[in-house]
Amino acid sequence: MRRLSELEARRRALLRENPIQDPAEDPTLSRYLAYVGKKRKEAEKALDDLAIEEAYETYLLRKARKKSRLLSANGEARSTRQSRAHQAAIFQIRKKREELIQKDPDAFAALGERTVLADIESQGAGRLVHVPYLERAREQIFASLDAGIPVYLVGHLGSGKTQLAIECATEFMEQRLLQQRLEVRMEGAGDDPKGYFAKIYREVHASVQAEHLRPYFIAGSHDLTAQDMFFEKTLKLSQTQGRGSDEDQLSSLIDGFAAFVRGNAEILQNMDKDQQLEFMLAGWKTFSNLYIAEHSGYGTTVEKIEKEVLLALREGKPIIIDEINTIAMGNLIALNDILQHHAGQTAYVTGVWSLTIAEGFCLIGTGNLSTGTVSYEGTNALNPAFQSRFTTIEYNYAPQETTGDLNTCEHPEKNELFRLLLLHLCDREGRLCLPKPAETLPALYRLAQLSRISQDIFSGRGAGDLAAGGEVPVLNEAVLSVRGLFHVLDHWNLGEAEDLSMALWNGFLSSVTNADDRNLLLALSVRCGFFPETEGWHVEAKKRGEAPLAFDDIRTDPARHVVQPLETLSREDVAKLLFGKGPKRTKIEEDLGEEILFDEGKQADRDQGLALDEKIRGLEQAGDVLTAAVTGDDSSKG
Amino acid sequence: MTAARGESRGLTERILAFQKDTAALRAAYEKALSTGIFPQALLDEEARLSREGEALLARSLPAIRRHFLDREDIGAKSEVLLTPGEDDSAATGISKERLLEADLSKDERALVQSLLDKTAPEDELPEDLEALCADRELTVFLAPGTDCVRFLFTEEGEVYLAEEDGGWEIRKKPLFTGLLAQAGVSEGDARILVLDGDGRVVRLSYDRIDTPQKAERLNLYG
Amino acid sequence: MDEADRKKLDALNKAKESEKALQKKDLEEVLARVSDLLLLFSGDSRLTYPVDERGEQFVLDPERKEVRVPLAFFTSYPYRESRFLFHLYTALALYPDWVRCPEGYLHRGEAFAREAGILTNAFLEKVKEAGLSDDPAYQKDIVYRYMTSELLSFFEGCDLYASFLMVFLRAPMYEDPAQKKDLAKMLLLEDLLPHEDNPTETHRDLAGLLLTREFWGEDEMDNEDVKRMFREPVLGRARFLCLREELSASLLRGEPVTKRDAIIRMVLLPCFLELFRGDLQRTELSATVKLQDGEAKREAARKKRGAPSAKNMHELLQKLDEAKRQRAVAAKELLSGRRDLTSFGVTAEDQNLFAHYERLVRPEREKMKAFWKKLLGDTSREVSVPVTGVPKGTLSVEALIDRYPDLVEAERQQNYKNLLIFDTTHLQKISRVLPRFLDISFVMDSSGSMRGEKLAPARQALAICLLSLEDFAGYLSQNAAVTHEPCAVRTEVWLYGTAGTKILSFSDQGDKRAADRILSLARLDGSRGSTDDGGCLKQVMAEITPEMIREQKAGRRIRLVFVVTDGASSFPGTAKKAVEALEETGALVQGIGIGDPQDAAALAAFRYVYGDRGLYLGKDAGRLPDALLSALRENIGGVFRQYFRRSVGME
Repeated sequence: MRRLSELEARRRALLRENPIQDPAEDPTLSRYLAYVGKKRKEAEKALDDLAIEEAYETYLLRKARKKSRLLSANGEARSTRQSRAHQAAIFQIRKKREELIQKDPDAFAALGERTVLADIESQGAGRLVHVPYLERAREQIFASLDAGIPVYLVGHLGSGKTQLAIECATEFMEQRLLQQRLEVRMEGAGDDPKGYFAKIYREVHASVQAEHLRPYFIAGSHDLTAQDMFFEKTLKLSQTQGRGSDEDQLSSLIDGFAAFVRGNAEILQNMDKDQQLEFMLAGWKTFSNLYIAEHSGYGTTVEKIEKEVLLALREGKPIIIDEINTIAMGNLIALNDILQHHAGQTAYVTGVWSLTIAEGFCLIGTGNLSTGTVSYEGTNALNPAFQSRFTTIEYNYAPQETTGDLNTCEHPEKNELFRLLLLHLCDREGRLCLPKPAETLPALYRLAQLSRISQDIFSGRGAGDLAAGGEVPVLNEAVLSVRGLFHVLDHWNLGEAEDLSMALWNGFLSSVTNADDRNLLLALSVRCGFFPETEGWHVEAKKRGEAPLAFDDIRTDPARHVVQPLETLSREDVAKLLFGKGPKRTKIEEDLGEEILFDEGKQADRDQGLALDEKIRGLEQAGDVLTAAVTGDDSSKG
Repeated sequence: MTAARGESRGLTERILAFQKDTAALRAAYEKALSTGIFPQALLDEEARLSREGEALLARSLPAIRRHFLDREDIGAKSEVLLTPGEDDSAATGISKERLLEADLSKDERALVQSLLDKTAPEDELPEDLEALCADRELTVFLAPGTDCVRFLFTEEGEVYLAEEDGGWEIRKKPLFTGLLAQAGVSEGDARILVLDGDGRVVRLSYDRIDTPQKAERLNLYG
Repeated sequence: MDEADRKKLDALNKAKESEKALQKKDLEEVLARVSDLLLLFSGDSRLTYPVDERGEQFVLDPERKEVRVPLAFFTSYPYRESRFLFHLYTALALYPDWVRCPEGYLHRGEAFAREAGILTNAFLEKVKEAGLSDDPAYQKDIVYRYMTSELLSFFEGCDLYASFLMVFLRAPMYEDPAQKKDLAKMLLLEDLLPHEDNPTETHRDLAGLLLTREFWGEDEMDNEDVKRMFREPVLGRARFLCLREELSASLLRGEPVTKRDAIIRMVLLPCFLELFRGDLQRTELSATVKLQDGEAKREAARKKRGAPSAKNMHELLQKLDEAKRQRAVAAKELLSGRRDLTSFGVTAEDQNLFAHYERLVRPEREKMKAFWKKLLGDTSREVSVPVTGVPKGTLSVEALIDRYPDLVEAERQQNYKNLLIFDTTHLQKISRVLPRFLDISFVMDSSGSMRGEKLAPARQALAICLLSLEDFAGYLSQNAAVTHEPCAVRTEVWLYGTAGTKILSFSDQGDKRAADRILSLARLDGSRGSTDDGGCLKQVMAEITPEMIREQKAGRRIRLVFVVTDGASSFPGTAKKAVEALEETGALVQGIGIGDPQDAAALAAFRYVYGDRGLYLGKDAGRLPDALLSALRENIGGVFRQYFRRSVGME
């Protein structure tokens, strides 16, 4: 009998090799590998089926909502029996997926690995990784856009709001187009709409992606006026030439002249040849001069150029106004009427009078949060009346636990910042190569913690719940955002030329210009385990107002870096790091199951232990009381 | 008498058995603690003993009360419910208006009213309790309470607690001192309302062991 | 000792003193440098870190919110920032738990009464065997107390270990093996590790051995029994690791001390009891030997470690418990709306009186809120301002003429942007300078003649004015937060009769202000005799400092004085002079009179004193609240609008 834990350990070790070799010398292991491979495929198919089912129900839901909107009095989609049925179906499918992941170790692993691959692809394409924090924000944004309410995304620097706005707007457009195309194609569905849907879905989805839809985008600034948003009138210097090519012009000129000659034929007949020529020449000259004077004007014309907001309104596309709070209030007011109405209704636009808002129009604004400690220059708070027309969604930094280390964290999936960090280091296949993983992984985790701590302080959440007023440590300008983290990691380059502390210095801290910020961040880095004394660093805390620490201050001897060999972690390892170990394998179908001892049994139950201890203590206590009272014996034996 | 003794012997045996089983359970628990996996049998035994313990405690409450009558942490509490107002003189006592304004529930108000009207019946002491008082040389002039509990007010201003648990017993140390009451009325087994010398309405109470849970929490030591 | 020696000793002492002073300064420097880090760790910005010259302990005093840092630590051991921070972090580690759950620590004795009892009985058995049952030192109570204190100190030792674990969790730098080694040496130097030298006191070493195991490892432990115990499996892992992991997890989750104690009870307490029983067996009892209260030893150890003494701790925890209870009471009071102001002389009757008037003026107060908001709203206005010479807008011929050369240049370059030849209007926010202070004095007549029907309207008038001004002050501070235009409104109340008394001062805060507010109404009772308003106004005048006069004249401070009088002023001459003097300083005085219009003398006196700054209401005292309120409105409104116009330049 082979132990399951041993087989698993061997299997995972094999996965780390590249390419994966078949262990011919160990038949049981080979069979186990094949079994797991098979189960994985089954799990992936199950997940795919669920995904298609969900897409189908979503398609039907959107169709029902559309219908409801058309039939409703005020253009709002109201809940109907069908829409509720489809929504309930979607919830059911999600629940099924949850249960599947919780029970089936292969489904859990398959989903985890798939997510890792998808995330890496997103990161590679410059898109945001779909961590739960992002998903929640996206849900809110889509809900608002579906309802026709514009969205105001606020957050601190480096949080990725602009990218989020662009992605949501793009996806909004894609969803609409997808829905349209599906509805058209589904008309040929026949008896089995679900099966037909499953067949055509991927194809239609790919066709929508291929369109490379893009929303409109305006970068806000103080000088932005209504002209820049709707309508630009410019003076254009142009030649008022007649329509048509040079040949046509010449021929029309000649025709005109010929007509002139014909008209004056009688006069010409009474002249001699020279006179005729003179006459005709004079006539030609005059004629051509007149023609030229009439047709080749040299002046300015007023040209109307429709700008992005107007285009978006007319064409039914989303528009993103970045840094909307830098725009002067007087100019933003021009948007008021548009914000009050949604697709299908008419709104008043300066310079155009009234305009019907096309379906598919929506508006997303982004802005920086000015708190008491951070002030972004040139930004105003949005007028509350104006802001009330938006759904304001705060989007800041991904969550991350800041106490404890990688081994003690109970919910790895809650450390979203660490996830972004690791994904950045993975290769295309989802594999992760690191020097000395046992030391590096905890160090990377601490880096994520440091980043989050700096983000908390920067956004004004540095004080704990015991502080009541009083001074709070602040970071004025600098914060280790996700962008900064990636920069540090790129510098580190898997420890080829420098270690993490040095990379942290070179890639981030040395470019912090504010002295207090740099000193505080250095001290925090030390607390998080970077710049250790044993490796030749010497960082001492500094008071506020002192000069910033320079490299020579903190480095006592020249850096000596030893290049470590890289070790590989497989995609499955990465998934387990990011999402946890998942449910345990409790049975193996097939004959293989009889050869395996399931030793990953029940876990020690701490809570039960504590509860039992308490209860038994109560029993002992009761026994003592009873003995004392009834038998009169005061002593307890214990 | 024999029946009672027989019964009490049965009880004692049960208690001894209970203690033995509890000790065995503790040992089994410690053994299982090494792996942290607790077999169902252990959990079932704990549940059984829990029920048995509760039953035993419930049966033994009178004995327990008697045994622990003299404990230090008996939780004697006195709280002033109502004071006479500035306009109320000592002679007239608390006026009707003041009573109406006071923050009391309806039942409380009725009880206080009865106290003020001194319409509550004067409680007669049961014979054996009177005898005990005489033995202890306590001059009791007021003894509000119920069938199971009496608060004995002596002329020295002391208040003693008497409980009936298969026979009356008086607590050695007084519950309260320096309290001279004019009248008293019972509000429950462990609470009474009295009218003290200054015309105030005071609620006196203590922690009476009337449930198995309270019995379990008793402090045997110190 | 002769003179020379004495002189030498003095010089030496002086040198020591100055050295100490220098060292103290150095330590304060160090503390200033690490203050941000400490703040981030503790999360409590109110904690301060004063240097303790005499003590050897790091004492956290939650009542005074300070951590006393012993100078001795700084001087006795080679200084290293990481070590210093480690000590401070350790002192702060359990502080949040203390504040949130002090009762858990205070009532530990009761929680483990059973174990103490078991040990007591075991000990008493031994006493019986030795035939010493009658010995006064071995009476049950004494033994029980001793056992309880041993248990408590065991748990305190575990608390120390938990503090270290907490520091590891929050400052991962100390988990680094090299750092840990350094700390291990430091702990050894500071004598914080158990000596393991007494076979009858092995139970006392247990908690300390946790530290030995953590920092030095198994091999440095002498006690084989403990080594075995640490290795035994509990919950599937070695006992020591199990305890470490479970305590860390509990700390990470932020669980209170009671949960931690339960874990220790399950995992480690049985070992403690076993060791203790063994110790008892090995102990030889003799008659009337005081039970070796390891207290003294423990105190010395604590002192060295830098932890507060047991007595201190108990007091600290009791203070925290008290603070926690007070917070609960305050919260309840806040909900019920009544504070206990008896310490300021406010009786329940006074409170009732004030509550009565507060209810009465509520509708009026709501209306006034609208007025205040509008007043503030008016002041942050945006006006349309025409500007010329901008690159976009409507063509301005004058600008074009002025910039004709630019146009020619533009033509040549074929670039017509940035031609500043247009007009437009911009929306400009008018920034306005508010007065920095608005001081309002109410001088109320409380003479004998006010008795009767005039008291109630006077109280009502005062109530609505005070409460409404508080609302206004609130709006102003909200406004200040946004526009950075601070304007503080302060009120004071004088009651006069034969003599004047200030009841509510400008500087009253918090509970005192609440109390004085109530008293202003309650004491307005017509008990003060004659009507010497002049004298009172002189007193008001006397409190205006030259500085305030300067500010009033410069417009940064506005002073309004409202006088309510009911009859003939006893000394009209003085009164008039006082009013004029006040007006000289830049204050605005407004008088309101209530009285019999038939009383020509009273009317004449009023007119004489206040002139057109006065409003005589006649017999209808009921109009007083409205009159006072509208006087308030007009005066403040006028002031603000004047300021507004002044800054815009639209005068």
